[in-house]
Amino acid sequence: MSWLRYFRRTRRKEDFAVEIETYLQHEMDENIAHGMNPRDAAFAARRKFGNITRAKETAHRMNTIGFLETIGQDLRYAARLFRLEPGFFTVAILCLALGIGANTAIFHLLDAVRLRALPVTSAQELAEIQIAPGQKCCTGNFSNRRSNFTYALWDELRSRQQAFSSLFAWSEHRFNTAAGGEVRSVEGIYVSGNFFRTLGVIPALGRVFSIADDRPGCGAPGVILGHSFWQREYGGQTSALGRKILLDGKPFEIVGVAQAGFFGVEVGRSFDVAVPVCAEPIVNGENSHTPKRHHW
Amino acid sequence: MAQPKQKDDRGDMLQGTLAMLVLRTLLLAPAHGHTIAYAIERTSEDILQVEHGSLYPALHRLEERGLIASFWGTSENNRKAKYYRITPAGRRHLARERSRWDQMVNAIARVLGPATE
Repeated sequence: MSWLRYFRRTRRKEDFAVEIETYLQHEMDENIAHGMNPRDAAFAARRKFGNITRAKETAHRMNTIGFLETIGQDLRYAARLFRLEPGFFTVAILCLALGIGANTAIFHLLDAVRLRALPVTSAQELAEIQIAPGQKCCTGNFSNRRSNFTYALWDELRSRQQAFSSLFAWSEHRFNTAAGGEVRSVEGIYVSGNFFRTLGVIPALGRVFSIADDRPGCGAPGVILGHSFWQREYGGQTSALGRKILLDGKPFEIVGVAQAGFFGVEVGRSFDVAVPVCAEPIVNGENSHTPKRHHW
Repeated sequence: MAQPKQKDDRGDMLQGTLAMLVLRTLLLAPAHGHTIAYAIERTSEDILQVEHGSLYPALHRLEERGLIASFWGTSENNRKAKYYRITPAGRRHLARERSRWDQMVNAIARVLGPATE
């Protein structure tokens, strides 16, 4: 109701003027009836009414939206200043543009790296386990970005922990998929058997690993492709299932494709292939990290 | 003649009070602004001097709130005039405001006690 008045303000203004005029006429009529001459009567009527302009302004303020009325003036003022000092204006606008742009860029970065939750069912329930940092912590050979435990430590943790409903381990490794000649590397991850189940990742095709896939000496139980890798390398074909892929020269059967949008647990990176941790001795042969105690 | 000086810089009386007086005046019969102003003055025996100019914005405000309605008519001396009449909502508002006012007057009277001078 109240803002609709804005569109009727011209009409109302006229009405208001008529009303005031009526008042003055009435007052004048009475004054003349009391014996004043018309001139004095008119003055007396105005005196009696008080401040006509103020009454009109009060009514105007009630009927208008101040912001809408002054925005036109502000814009015209801005345009005039722009004509007077184009240089200053350009600099000001550039500053604003750069500032806004930089803010947006930084926010996008932060959003991707820190704010966005992992694309899994209950990201808020996840926790990462580390050895508390201290002087005694963690010497030895580190072979990748996020080394927390050796295989032996992980094995102990897995069998004894009671704090979590499920515990999974993962590690990253760059595999070579070429049979020979030029190296074609893909981003791979080693995952424990319950990795996908714990994260609630469902397969887009085939199946995901279960605990049964990950037992010591499992050989080469199969590989799960990342969804985008499957699209890229196999054109999203269902027939990819059951085919073999060479990982560092060892054939692995494709048993499944992870759900679209799942990029692993490292924000900002993604995996192409995932193999069970137990396959590591096969891939690395005699140099396997699994039995080492000083190698993270 | 005692004239309560109006301090409000917009020349209004206490807004709610003026609304109450206008509604009370219109309770008797529809009237235009000039009549209302004089009715308030006369029935208060000239103690309440409404600044006539401030009456009109007040009338508009009351109309916006739906407490009074307006129509154009011809006045007693054959001039076109905007008449106002009280609406049912206005009557209810007046009753409410009146009981509040009575309470306040009673309360103030009790605090001041009987006149000592």
